[in-house]
Amino acid sequence: MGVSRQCMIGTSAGAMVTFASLGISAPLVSFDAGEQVQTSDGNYITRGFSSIILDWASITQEEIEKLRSYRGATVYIYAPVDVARAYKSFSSIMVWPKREDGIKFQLKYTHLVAV
Amino acid sequence: MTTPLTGATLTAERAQRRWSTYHIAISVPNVVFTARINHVFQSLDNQSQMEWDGGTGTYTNVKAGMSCRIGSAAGLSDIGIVRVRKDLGASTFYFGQVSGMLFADNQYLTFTDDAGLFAKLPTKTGDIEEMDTDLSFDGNSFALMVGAGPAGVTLELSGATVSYTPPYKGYSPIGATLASCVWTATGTSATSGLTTTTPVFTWNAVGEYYIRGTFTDSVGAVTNISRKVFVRLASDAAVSIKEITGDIDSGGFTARIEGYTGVGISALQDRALCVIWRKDYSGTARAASYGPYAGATATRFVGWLNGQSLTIDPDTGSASFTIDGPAAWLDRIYGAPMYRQDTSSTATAWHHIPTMTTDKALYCLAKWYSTLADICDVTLTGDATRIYTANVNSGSLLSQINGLAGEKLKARICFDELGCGFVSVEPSLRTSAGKAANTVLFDIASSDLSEQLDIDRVTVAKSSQVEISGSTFDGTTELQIYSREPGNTPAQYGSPDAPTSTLAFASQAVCNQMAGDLRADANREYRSVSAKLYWANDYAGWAMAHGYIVRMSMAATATPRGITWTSKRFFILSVGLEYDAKTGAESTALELAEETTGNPGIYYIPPTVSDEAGNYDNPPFDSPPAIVPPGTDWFPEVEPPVIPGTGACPSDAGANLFKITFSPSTLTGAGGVLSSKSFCPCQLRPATFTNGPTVLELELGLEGDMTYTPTMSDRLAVYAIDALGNHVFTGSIDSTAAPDVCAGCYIFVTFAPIAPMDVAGFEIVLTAGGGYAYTSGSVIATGTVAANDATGDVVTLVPGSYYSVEDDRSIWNSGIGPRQGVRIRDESSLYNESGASFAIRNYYQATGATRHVTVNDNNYGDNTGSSGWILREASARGSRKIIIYSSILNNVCAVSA
Repeated sequence: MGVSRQCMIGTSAGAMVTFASLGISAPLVSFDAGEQVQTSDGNYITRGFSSIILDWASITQEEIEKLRSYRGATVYIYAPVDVARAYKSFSSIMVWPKREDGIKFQLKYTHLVAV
Repeated sequence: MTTPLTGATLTAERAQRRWSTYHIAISVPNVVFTARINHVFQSLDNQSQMEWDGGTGTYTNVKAGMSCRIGSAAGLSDIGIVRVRKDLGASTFYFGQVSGMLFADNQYLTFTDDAGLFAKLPTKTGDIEEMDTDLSFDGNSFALMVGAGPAGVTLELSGATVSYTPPYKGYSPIGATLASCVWTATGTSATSGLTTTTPVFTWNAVGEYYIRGTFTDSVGAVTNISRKVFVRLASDAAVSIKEITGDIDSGGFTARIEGYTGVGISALQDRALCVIWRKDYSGTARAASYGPYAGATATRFVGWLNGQSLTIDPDTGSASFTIDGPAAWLDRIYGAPMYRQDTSSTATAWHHIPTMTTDKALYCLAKWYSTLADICDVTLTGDATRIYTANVNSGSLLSQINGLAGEKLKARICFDELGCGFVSVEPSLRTSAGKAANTVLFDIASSDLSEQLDIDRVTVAKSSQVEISGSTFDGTTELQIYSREPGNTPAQYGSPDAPTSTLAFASQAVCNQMAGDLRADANREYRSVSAKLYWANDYAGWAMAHGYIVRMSMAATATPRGITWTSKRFFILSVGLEYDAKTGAESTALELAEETTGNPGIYYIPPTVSDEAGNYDNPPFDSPPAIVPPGTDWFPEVEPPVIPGTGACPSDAGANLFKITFSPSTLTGAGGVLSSKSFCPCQLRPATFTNGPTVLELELGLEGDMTYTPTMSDRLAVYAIDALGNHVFTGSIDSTAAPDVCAGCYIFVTFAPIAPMDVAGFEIVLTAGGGYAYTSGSVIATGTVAANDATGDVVTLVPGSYYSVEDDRSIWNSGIGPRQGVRIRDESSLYNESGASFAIRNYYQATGATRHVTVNDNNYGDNTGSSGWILREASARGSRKIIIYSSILNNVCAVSA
């Protein structure tokens, strides 16, 4: 069995499913390693938790409602984390956006902890 | 000590991608026992014990230090909360003394296993003192003060069990040591080492647990302490920490929680013990936590909920509140006045402390006037300077501790984030040894800073002169000493200041250094430097409480004013732990102050406040006149030299010399001043020392009969004296040289004790007496006169001039026996003396021009024989007098105490 190359989410590490299986279109996935801060010597350091951002250029209300069912608890996500597109599983906190107009939609999974 | 923030720990703390989540444990204390009041109160004043009945549970589980809620219904505390001051009796409940609490028969008593900060109130009936209402002075009165780590810690139950070993440290004011100990804890699944100082408590379930230690010292005194342990799960809800801040002025830390929804609001009771803890991560992996307390590194803050600060959001129902550390609570609690006095013998009452130091008096405040030492760690200064008295006025417990520590040592207490207190002297005011021994926590580099430094720089001095005073106490005499820095002339800029007059000093040298250090501190160039670290420094608050040092090396380009620092030393004024919930990152805001060291001041004499009649002038002054030591009358108006040194006086101590000043400078033997003193605290050196003994070199003018020797030592003595002016050592006056006349000659006075000897100064004492003297000059005429020649040989003199006439040691007979000597028959002798070449020499001031030399016997008729004579010019040398032109003190050491 090969390694999955699709993002998955779930309410437990062992029960993650792909967006396709939920009937949700595939989002654009990006990984944010943390906050960039410039120090007084001119260099930049990264601090804080890592996040995965899922962007939908277009999403339906029906898809949003399916995603909403994951809101509020620890969410597990399987996603690529680097340029080599190595996939890993994380526990996370799903940050629900203020704006859900069904056109552009973004979900942020913060506090990533590898599981 | 060695800094814990080094190597791998420092690297991990600085690591990128580090973040945290915060959690909180709020005490809901366990009910140990319940009962009802079985007591009819005749008065509600000064209540400290009552009878109880109707108990549920095991009453012997109620231990001293626990709390009791008293309510009108079961479980309530609407009547009040009191401290259990003794283990609960079979029918009697002893509690911390209160007045005005509306006790009534049949009210409900709920005993819980929480131990809070309370005052312990002493009582005094007649001459009988008792602590904590009714504890008589006994062998338990100097029991150990035991530290066992933070008042509460949180352990994360990530596996089947979790274990904790509280630290141990003990302080005894009488030097006792720990003899045995017994630990107990509630809810444990396993324990080991319960009779050692490293017990292991293991729990396998979430809960709130109570640890108690009983310690017996080497003299049989017993101490009890208690701590709380919260066992929690990793899945505990995170909380939003707005800030955790602390500063040395307020004495500790507070934390602000916002949006808390973890438990019902009813659980947020005023003064509930709260422990903030955290989980640390590095990148996407769980990481170790760091901190100064082993086993409690996840614990981030310990305090008690400030009920006044509690607010509830009406929309969300979430709570926001402040948690205050021990300092804030101590500042709200009344403390009774305390008086302690040194004793050199065994203490027999509460107010006696053997060989008292400031630490020992502070011990009494922490252990016997409050529960502070029962539930929190308190580390004292370690200063061993003996003090005679410790007076503490009533006030808040915090002000009492800081008042006493500040008054004696310029110290104060500061609690770290975990509520452990440290009484310490500000780093700039520590002795040179204290500064050298101070721990450097870590070195800040520009790569640590997420914001540019904010530097408050002062380039014009604020203090031009500092005058301080304090006391030294050797177990017998308490002596006030003074110092002024930079000297009698203030510096050009700034105002003079007299910041303290109550400090305890080990020596004048310490006093002098403190004066200089206080001025240097007041004038520190970098008063405040704000530095923000991008990372969470888990040791900063602990280091601030200790007064530890941080160093900073900065290139000119890294500071806003182009300042370059290389390992510049600072101490920490405040710490702000800033948590950004949006990133999970924590940064550390530090406010730093430059560590300074001043030059030693000089001894000075404070002015005496008096009216025109020389009496103390009370009005319009509100305070009594300054207390000056006995012997003040001998203080000269000129300050003594500063003799460098630590008080050590080794046998190979280098040669040195100091100019000292005697006052008054002229002593007159006839009806004048006979004593001149010089204040110069120093140690005399023995003759066996490499560079010889102490020698006082006096340049004197001698008048009257103060010929250099051999009469010198008959009429002059030089002593070393103590602070009261007593003669403690007699100097040996050198008589090897013997000029007959001295109008600016030197004498050497040797002080050679058998061992180095502290003295306060020197005294020159002239023997009383007129002591007129004259000096013979050139020969005017000579001759031989018959002893029976009543007319004598004629000589011509100048009236008003002085002359002497002497015999040639011829022996003539007066008719009744052999005699010697001649005279000027017509004049009265002013003074006579004997010598090697003559039997007697008489001095005269001529009153006429033609005079006659005869033998000195009016009955010339029966005389036989003759005598040669010599007439000389002479000059008057006046009455007995010495003039002290200068004085040089050679080969001394700085005073040892």
